[in-house]
Amino acid sequence: MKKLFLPLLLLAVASLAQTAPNTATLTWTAVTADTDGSAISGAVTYNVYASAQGAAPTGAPLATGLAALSDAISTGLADGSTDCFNVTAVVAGQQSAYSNQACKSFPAGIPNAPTLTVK
Amino acid sequence: MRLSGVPHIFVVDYVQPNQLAAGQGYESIFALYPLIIAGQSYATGLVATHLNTIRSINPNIVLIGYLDPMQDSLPDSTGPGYDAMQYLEGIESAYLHDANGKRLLVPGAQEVCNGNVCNAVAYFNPASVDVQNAVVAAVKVILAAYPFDGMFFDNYDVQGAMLLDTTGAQYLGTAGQVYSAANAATMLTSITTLAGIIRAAFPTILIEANGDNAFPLFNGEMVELTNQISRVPGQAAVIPGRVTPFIPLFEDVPVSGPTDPIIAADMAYAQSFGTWYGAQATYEIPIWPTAFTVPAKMPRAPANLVAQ
Repeated sequence: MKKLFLPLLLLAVASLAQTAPNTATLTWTAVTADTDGSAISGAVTYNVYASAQGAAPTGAPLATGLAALSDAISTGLADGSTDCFNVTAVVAGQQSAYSNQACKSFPAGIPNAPTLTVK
Repeated sequence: MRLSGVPHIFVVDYVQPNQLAAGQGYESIFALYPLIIAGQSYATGLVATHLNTIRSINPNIVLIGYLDPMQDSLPDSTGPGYDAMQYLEGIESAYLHDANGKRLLVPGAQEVCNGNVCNAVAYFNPASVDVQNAVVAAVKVILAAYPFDGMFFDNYDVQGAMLLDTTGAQYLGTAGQVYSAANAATMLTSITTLAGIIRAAFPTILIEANGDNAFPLFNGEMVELTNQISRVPGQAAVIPGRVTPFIPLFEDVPVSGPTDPIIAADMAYAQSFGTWYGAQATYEIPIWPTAFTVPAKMPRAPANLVAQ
């Protein structure tokens, strides 16, 4: 009968593995031109915004001044939610319009294994 | 910060919900401006989409909501802000009265009709705790419902018709009528106190008032019409305790449309004092006057954003 405890232990370990924070890794392509088609000569940085699905962002950026073409968001991403993002480019203080919206869904969390007590 | 380094121009968004429903939101024109004063509406979804579309075109734009806190010009509709203010309609002490207990009415104001019932527009009493609470509650729900960065309070000043004359009747400026100076001083104190209550409740938002008085806890006041432009220098003067950013506004109504020469002349005059300039040639259709400079070019939006 004691063999039954091994699968339960493995289930508990698997459950612990689910507690790592959710992460959304964003990537986008570089902005190399202004809206009038002229090439950008200065440095380009990027801002990342959260947005409701299907809507434009309304709050402060999640990250600013990013030089890279990617960013990893790991805060505020709850199990069972769909989180969406937009990116803007900034050149010499002028900010672009928002990029397309990208979303990532996180599955609902797996409940912790019940505690089995043998008396 | 978003308003630093931008042209001192603004626009009032008079577009109506029926226009939004018909796809006539003129979002691309509004998005040219750095600052918009929007209208209040019960059409939450349409208006929110309209404002979000403008902001999606111009992420730097500053959007300011509207409330008329001193006058009961409320429609019967429910919606953000209206619910909080309509509560006052069951409280008689929320209104200003003459010595005989008759409500003080706004002279020349168009009656507000709900169905077949029309009511004259009456003044709310800024000293009423109910009014003070209702205004704060209304601002709170408006800010929650729309992507606003601040509020514009229409008719926020001591108007003559809010006062009593020396006999206790409503002061209407008729021949021989003299308003009570003590009453005027009390009213200014009340409306200034309300300004402080609003600012305390919303310490970080932009607040603009439309009227003849100056409230240092607000970010500025608006002067309207070219025949009032002589008030701009006084309005643009910084007064002790004025919060920043200080944004005095001047709103023109050029009758000849977007090429009216009055635009360039009035704009140059107003901006020479640091005042922001707005022009509205045709209500409900925004314009981008030819006298305005072309917005600075900006980088293209990033593309191919993917979330994994």
